[in-house]
Amino acid sequence: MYTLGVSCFFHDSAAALLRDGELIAAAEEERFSRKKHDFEFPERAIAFCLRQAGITGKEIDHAIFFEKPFLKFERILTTSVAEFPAARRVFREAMLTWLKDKLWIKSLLIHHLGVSSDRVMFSEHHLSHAASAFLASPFEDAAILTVDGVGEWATATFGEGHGTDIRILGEIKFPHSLGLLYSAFTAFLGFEVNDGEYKVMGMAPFGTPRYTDKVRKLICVGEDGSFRLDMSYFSFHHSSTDTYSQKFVELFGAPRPPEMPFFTETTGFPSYFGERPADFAKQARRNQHYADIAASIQAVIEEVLVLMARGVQRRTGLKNLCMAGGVALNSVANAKILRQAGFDRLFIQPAAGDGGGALGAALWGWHSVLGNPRKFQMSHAYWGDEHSEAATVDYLRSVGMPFRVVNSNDVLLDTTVDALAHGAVVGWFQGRFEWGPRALGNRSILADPRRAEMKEIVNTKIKFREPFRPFAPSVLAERAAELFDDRVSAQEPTKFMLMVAEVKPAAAARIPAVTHVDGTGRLQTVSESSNALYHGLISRFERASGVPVVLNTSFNLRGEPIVNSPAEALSTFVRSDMDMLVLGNVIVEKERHRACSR
Amino acid sequence: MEWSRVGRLGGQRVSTGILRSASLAGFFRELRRAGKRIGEAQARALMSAFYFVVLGPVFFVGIRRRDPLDLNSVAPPAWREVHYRCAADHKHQQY
Ligand SMILES: [Fe+2]
Repeated sequence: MYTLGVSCFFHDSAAALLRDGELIAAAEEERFSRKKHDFEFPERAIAFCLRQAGITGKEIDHAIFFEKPFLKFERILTTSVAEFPAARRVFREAMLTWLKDKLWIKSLLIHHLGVSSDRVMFSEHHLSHAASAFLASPFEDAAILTVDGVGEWATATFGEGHGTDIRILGEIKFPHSLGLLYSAFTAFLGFEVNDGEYKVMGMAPFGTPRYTDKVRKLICVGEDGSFRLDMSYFSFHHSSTDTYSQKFVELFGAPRPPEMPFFTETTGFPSYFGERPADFAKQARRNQHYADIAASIQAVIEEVLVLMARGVQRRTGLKNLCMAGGVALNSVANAKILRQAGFDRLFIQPAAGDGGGALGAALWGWHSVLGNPRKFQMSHAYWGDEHSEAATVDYLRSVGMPFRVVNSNDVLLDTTVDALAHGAVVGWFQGRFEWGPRALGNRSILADPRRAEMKEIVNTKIKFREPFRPFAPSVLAERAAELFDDRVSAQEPTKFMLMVAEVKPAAAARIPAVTHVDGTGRLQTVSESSNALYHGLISRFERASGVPVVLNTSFNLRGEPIVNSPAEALSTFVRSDMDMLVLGNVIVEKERHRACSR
Repeated sequence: MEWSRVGRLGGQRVSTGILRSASLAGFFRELRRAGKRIGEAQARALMSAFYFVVLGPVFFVGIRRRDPLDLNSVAPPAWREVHYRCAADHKHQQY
């Protein structure tokens, strides 16, 4: 029996397909359409899922949309009326898209798949988030916390999961939203909303949270983590272009211009920015102010999330916590929740944002509606498309790119490790691409974490990245506790790079390129069972270098989605200064690297 | 591409034919674009009129005092209780 989950029309559209309750394919549309955060109907992702299963749309038994469209429409109408006449533009633009597409999602699914209307179901936005976390977790019983920008009306919920049953017990409603509060600061700090939130998190350790009192003026928080925003500081509830109001600007000063390069006294002036400006100190001071604002909003968000989680723990008495929603991608806050909220274990699946709603909808349909017992656990993230060696070779031949095919994994791993140990930056493209926004060793750019200068080298070679762009340590799971905080590194979400752990002082000097300015690392633990080839690569790198870690960053250029196909990987390779590209068993090298390695 | 268009139109594979078909296709493309722009402008005007004429009175009569977005509350913040809905009961509902 096939169950298809679909999410679209908000942030990241996606599709996920279950066969008899087991996930067989899941992907976000952006990987196929090449539009970052593509929110349109995910026809390519659906086509991929069907291809993976070897079926046609008609063979889908249940198609489940991740939210209730009419409830969301009601929220937009109510907000437009409540914010009369300021919301006139929001109303006008929203009606154009809603009347054209969004209201007719049922017909769209019926026509696209060729299924009858009784096979189309609708979950709820936060229920889908909750299901995506709990029903993919290893827990039989768990508390659930979902926090995002907004779903239909809810912006945060908590509840409990037992077996196949999920109960949402409480919610916070729009416009009071932790996700939208963070997004307002994302926009204020010059980044794109729904894309640059992780940059705010990366920028925060460069600052001091000296403005937390000002941030607290924007949000009133109860002891149980419930909260209400002072909406006079925001405009997202009546504007489709602005997220914060003039009053916000009066409180925090002028917003950071998006094109302003980020550097402080701590980061220094990165060489890839060009020539050091004459007024470096002045610009660095200005950036320091913005870094302090980033640190302040991050500190307050962490505080509220810990209060929320602690409140949920007290109310449910449970020791496991499942989290989902875009805010659950805040890996720094996740680690604080583990340490301070009273839970023993945490689970977050890799596509915690809206893309993951597709998975949640499918799991909700299979278990909660159809009553089937649980047998699936998300133990790895490799649910995307893959490309055969023959297709790769054909493509490289067709574009006249020199390459060599390596027929043994030993030679492949040794060649790659040798290149890494000699300071090369390697594009590593293997098997099925990852589910969710993180590159976890199948679509990654790798480098040697021992070299402090590697941060700057990677930033220089993979152009235009900001100095706070995170470089993650991929570490052998069985060795993680030697280098990172033991408690955090043992948690499931570290498989998916969703928690930040302190790097042990003795280890920090050994892996400076993946140790953030605050002495932490957003680690990915790699086990043999989840990714044998990547595990093998890191093991061999340890033999060559003495550290069981490689530097991992996503395989894309700034502003582009992570690569899917060999063609996209090669295009990224050619447009950057990467030294070597490994496409399955096929190795492509840049001329100068070939000359050096001879 | 232009050659095949000429072929489909039954024209000759001569440069004048290509030009004619290219300019015709271009003309229709522009016409479609203009039609779309006019349609969207009309839809926007209609929606704006609807907003002020229909939703405006709704605001003044009902919504203003109800504060559905909880903008003016002075009570301490609290989680809103969610009533349990059996999955099987609302599985087909879009609301
Ligand atoms: Fe969401």
